[in-house]
Amino acid sequence: MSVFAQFAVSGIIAGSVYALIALGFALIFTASRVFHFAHGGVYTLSAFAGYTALVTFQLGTPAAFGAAILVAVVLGTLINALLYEPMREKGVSSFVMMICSFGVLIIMINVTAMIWGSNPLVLSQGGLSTVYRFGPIYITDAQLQIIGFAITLGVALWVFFQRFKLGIAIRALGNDSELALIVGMPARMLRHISFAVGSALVGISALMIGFNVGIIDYNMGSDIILMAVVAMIIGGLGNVGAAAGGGFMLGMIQNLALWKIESKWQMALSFSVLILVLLFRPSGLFGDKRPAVGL
Amino acid sequence: MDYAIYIGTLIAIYATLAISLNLLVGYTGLISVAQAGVYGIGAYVTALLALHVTNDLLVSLLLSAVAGVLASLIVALPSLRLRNEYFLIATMGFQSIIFALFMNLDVTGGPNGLYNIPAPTLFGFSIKTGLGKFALAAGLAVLCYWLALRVTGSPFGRLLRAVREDQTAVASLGKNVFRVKVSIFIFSAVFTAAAGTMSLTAIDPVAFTLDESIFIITLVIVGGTGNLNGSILAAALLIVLPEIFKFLPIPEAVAPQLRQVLYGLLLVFFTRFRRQGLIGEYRDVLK
Repeated sequence: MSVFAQFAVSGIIAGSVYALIALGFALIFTASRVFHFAHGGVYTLSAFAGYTALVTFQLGTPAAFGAAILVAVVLGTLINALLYEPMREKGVSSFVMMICSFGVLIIMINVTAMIWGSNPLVLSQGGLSTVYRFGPIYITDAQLQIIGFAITLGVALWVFFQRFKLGIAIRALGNDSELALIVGMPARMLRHISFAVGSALVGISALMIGFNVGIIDYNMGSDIILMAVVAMIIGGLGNVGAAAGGGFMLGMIQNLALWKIESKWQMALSFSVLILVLLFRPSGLFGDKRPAVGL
Repeated sequence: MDYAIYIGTLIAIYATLAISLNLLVGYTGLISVAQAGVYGIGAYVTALLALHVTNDLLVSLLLSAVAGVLASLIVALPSLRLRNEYFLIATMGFQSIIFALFMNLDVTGGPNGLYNIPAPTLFGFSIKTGLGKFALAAGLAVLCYWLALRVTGSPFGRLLRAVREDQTAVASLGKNVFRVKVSIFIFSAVFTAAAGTMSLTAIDPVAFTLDESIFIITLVIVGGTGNLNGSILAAALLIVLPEIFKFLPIPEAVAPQLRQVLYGLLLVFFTRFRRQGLIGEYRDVLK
């Protein structure tokens, strides 16, 4: 039983990590309908920016978060302004933007490796993390922060996109950007804001996850962005909160499966779940019944 | 000289891979990122045959193609129900599953891969030299190019392009769109898997990742979707270009990354500014 409980907690922790990345990704997707894979590169570079502020220049934790957020916001908005927006203006489909995004991801990951080297870097605060014990379960303060942040953000964004006028407007924009323009919405500005906010979220998450794992490396973004896409699709498209739900679901599935399946099959398992959801429940597990996303 | 022959072999292999994918992308509008997986299946089938059964090239070509087609059908049949991004993401899922199989099964040698693979024999002659391997790879590329030209120039080729332009219209004329797509998937899989049989002395599973699939897509887009000559040109350019780094004062540690950055830049540049590729069809196929 205690083993099961620990697996479940590991599932929640992994799920929070996926949820955090999926939230920013889904926010951007909801507004722009772009599968912004370069988000994984923004994640990587902002973690390294945080590292540089914290370890190289010894500026302290708040400055590290500031650096991570700044780099993330600048990169995210630039990618949108220089690539996606001009492509949209020319009538290029979001499908081609997605392929373009792969290119940006490749560039960012490899530039990170060229600047900071391809060996992992230690991002610890000197082993200060406190371990809490709840009965048979062990959990660190970094993990509690991640879980708390993911749940809070997930709920907040869910409410924002379901109840608030601006949230509903952004969803409408994603569904039909031309119509949004016709009714006088500042479409381009709303997309810029979504990219900035989504990127800021991933900047914060990158550093929190870095603190939890203890090390960062240039390849950290490529697998996690795939998991974020899986999380968003199994959660449900067109609803940001559902993506967080998908993240938790994915973390739980991966970790509970460890009972029966070796960990080396985790990726394959996750993608099998993705394919099953795409085929049998394309609207996702928690999403709107009819997501207008051209599936 | 050996070096030039080796580069030539690589170009021939990647030209084959690019032409095979171009048939899917440029003629039917399907972008599959499971190509590296199918390519890998060809490589593993050949290697396992050579290690345990026979190194006869014709046998390994035939069985690799069969295995590649089967794998490709497993990928295509469910994925073809989805469109555009969702099709690509479904094939991405399959790509990752195939890669996990390469990495984790016992028969594939796990992360170590397979090595000491005997050279193939063709009609009793062992093909050991670099030149022999080049001739094989080039032969396959030429065959693939010629057949692809025949297919795309045929009435079936017109049907393919029609599916790309407007599949609803094609369906309304009583054509079976699904069958057209599956047919071209099979053709593509045969040559993708066959490319895997070439030039093997050892297999490293890392050669068959999602990144490799994206590289093959880069070749197709840089060359021009829907243009077979473009695919060959792009394969030659993108293999040769990074070799120039070797003559520049660049530290050896960053050379592989610089190569990736170059590929990424090309992918971004062509999707952003020149979607018809170097010598693609006049209008935007990628729209």
